[in-house]
Amino acid sequence: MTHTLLPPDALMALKPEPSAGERLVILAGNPNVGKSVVFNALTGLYVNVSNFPGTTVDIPRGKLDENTTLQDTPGIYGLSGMSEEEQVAEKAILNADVVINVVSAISLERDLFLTQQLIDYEKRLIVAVNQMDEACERKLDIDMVKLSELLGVPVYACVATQGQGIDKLKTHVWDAKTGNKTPDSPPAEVLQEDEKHPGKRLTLYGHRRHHVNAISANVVHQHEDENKNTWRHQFSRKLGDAFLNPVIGLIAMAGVLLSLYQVVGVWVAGDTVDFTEGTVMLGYVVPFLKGLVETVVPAGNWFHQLLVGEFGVITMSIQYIYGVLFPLVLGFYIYISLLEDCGYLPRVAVLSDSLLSRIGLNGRAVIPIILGFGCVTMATVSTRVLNTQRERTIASTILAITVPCSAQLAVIMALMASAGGLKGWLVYVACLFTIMIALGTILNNLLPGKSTPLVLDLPPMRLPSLKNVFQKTWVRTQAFIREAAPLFILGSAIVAIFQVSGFLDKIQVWLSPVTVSLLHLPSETATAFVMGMVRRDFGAAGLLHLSSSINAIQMMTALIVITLFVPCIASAAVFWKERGIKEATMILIGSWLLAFGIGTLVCRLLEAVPIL
Amino acid sequence: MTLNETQVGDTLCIIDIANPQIATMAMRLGICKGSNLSVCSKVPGGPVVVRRGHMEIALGRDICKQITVTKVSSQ
Repeated sequence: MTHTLLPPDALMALKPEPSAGERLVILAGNPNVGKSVVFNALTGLYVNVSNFPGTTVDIPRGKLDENTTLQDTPGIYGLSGMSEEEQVAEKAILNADVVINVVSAISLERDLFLTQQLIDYEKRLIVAVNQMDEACERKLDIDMVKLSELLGVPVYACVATQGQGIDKLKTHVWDAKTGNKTPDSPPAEVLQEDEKHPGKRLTLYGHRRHHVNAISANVVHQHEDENKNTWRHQFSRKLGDAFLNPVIGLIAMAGVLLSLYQVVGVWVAGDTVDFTEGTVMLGYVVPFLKGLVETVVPAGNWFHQLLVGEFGVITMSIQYIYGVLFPLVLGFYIYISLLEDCGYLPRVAVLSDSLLSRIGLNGRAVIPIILGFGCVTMATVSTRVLNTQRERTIASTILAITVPCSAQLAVIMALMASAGGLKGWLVYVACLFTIMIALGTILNNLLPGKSTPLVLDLPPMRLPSLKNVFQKTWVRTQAFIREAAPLFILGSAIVAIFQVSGFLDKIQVWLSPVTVSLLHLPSETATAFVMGMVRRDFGAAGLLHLSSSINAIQMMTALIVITLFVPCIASAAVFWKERGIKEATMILIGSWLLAFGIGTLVCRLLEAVPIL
Repeated sequence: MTLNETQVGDTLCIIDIANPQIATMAMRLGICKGSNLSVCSKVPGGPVVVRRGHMEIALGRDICKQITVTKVSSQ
């Protein structure tokens, strides 16, 4: 395992030019200590999320004052280069003029490890002890004066969600000091080298852990017996435990998924998109754009087709990005941010860990998979939360092939009535679930390496702060649209060229024999399959007008083929960007083979065993 | 015994963490030789959730098998 992505001298080269008055302050801390809330409070809403050069980890940046940049880093437990996130954080921290270290008052003992490591690395440091309100609820008393004295750096108490302590933090940033190092700790450069050797590292970490545990024991006092804690805290703990109980947890999960389907699948993907796409886009925006283009390019011309035709680059990408994707992604991110901030999502990850580790993933992968039922494109981007490339490959493949997005689900829902109703759903879900497990198992055995085991900090269940949820949602949605928009435009351009050149019709002609002889479907279904490449829901919708002329078995076959078949062009483009050309091509070919292979199998099986 | 063999409600003391990489990772979270923790939840066939102070950490089964513990008390 490499310690950092780049050798030390390359790190120096990365150091920004110390231009006159430009100062860099880095925010660092463990996950779930409210670091992003502190970041938002310090910088205001105007945050710029970008990828750290050469990596895929999001780094928000903002202005602390006129000539000071404040940069957030991913939540980490220490600087050990154990994951991409740690490597990114470490590089940022080494370049910082000052580090603001956010720690949580309720997990001070754990959090001080990173604090002490920053001190041992001789960084100028200021510590923000956040979540003081929750410590108060738990009858925890923290001696700030003593903590500051023992660490040798300024310490400030905060309740970032209420804006308390933020001003003080801001005014005292430049009082940051290099603190009291762990006894017998070597100079920073030597220490950083030593910590790269696994054996020496364990010893050094042992000393540091011992040192900070003593500090923590000195400054943290638990006032009363824990059982006398406030009812809010007790309720939070009971609720948290209940969600981890397999029976209650599964019922809760089913409830959450159903409500997610109702909110995002029905209200957002259905009703809202009908309005934004149908009424706003197709009613006003698209005709307006057409008119605008027609003042320059006459209608009927191939170039006109390419720009504003049925699959025109301009019309289709705008209609898709703002009419469909934007409301969908916004709705989904609000929901996910709520679940995340109240502490529910990590518990779902714990519950699903044993199943997911069987297919080479771990509990963390539940997040991208849930997101996939909203939008596969968005979910593929979110596979970045997974620790290793191996896990990202497995998760992306499962997403691209077996997970139907909400746009598609809405149409499938309408069609299921003619594919056996409830029985049809059972066949459909069983079929996709089996393929998901089989695919994951095969990849898990095929890919070199092993899945990483789960280590997950479970934050207490708490009422989410709506302000924070909306801020997070907005930043995420913006970042996603900015990233996905060019890919959608590229995707539409490819489809437009295919259509104008007549290639789209050719594919349909080539596909017909397969659909007729293998899948026992009318040859027109090929059109639906090809449309599925343009947009997944177009494919499903293409089956709508066939629904009266085909039987239940044929409909089931068609629905399964359409789900497994190539993801929409946008998610294919994101897949290509995230996973590289080789993996993207393999997934494309794999999904064709799987779709027709499984489709053939399903239709033969259903013909032999007529359960529908 | 190892962490995966414990019962919900047990208070434990850590004797040893076999795998050095896991030991390093756990050290940062405050779990090391000699530290006390309690088992607050177990998912059948899945992770064990341990509590230390006001912190809860879920550890995958494969990690739990590497952590040797001794029972201090049980509920």
